[in-house]
Amino acid sequence: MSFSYFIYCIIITQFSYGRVQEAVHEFLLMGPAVIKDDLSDPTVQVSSKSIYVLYIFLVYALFELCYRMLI
Amino acid sequence: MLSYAYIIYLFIPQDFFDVTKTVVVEGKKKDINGVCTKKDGDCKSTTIYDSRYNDMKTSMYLLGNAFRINQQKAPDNLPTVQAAKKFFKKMNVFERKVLGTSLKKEAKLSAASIYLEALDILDEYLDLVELPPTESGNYDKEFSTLVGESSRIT
Repeated sequence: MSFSYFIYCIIITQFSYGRVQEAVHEFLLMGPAVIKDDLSDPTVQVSSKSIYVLYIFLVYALFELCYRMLI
Repeated sequence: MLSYAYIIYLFIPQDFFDVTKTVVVEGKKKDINGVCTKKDGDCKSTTIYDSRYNDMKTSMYLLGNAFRINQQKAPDNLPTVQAAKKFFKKMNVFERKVLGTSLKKEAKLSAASIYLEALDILDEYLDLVELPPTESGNYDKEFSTLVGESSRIT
């Protein structure tokens, strides 16, 4: 094994370990929802309902902020 | 306003397959002290987003390839890369199931069974790349995905 290849392996290992571990962490997070067969859980995928509710709250918060600034 | 922030936090999407969630390459500032010196005047930083699953595919393949001890051997023949590819195959089926685009032959399979099979393959892969297994409790916390956070090579 050449020295440059050895350095390449070290860099790749450093680059990938954190990413792989974070991905495994997120993969395990969605486990309970998948076992319950609830594929619409926010840990698995974005549900259109949650986005809709988030949008309403954002608009409402913005209106209230503007109202308070005017008063 | 704090209660609004909490409600908004509750609805932040945390899904695994969302291609707009994970920052793969963070946008860098291109101006100098607020002055854009580019000829085309385009100093906007562009951040590249992808899903955590796509990022996982890339990093798992790269990490598996780093365990190659002989350059004459093709990467695909490595046990680490083979385990990673087996995992991707299962996860692609799972992704189609989640997104509701599964093929006819995959319709009978339940998402839970696919997930458990993928978990077994993932454990096999983690063992090969010298990482702790999934049931060890090591993955209960979040990990930093930044490169070169520590100057030490451990």
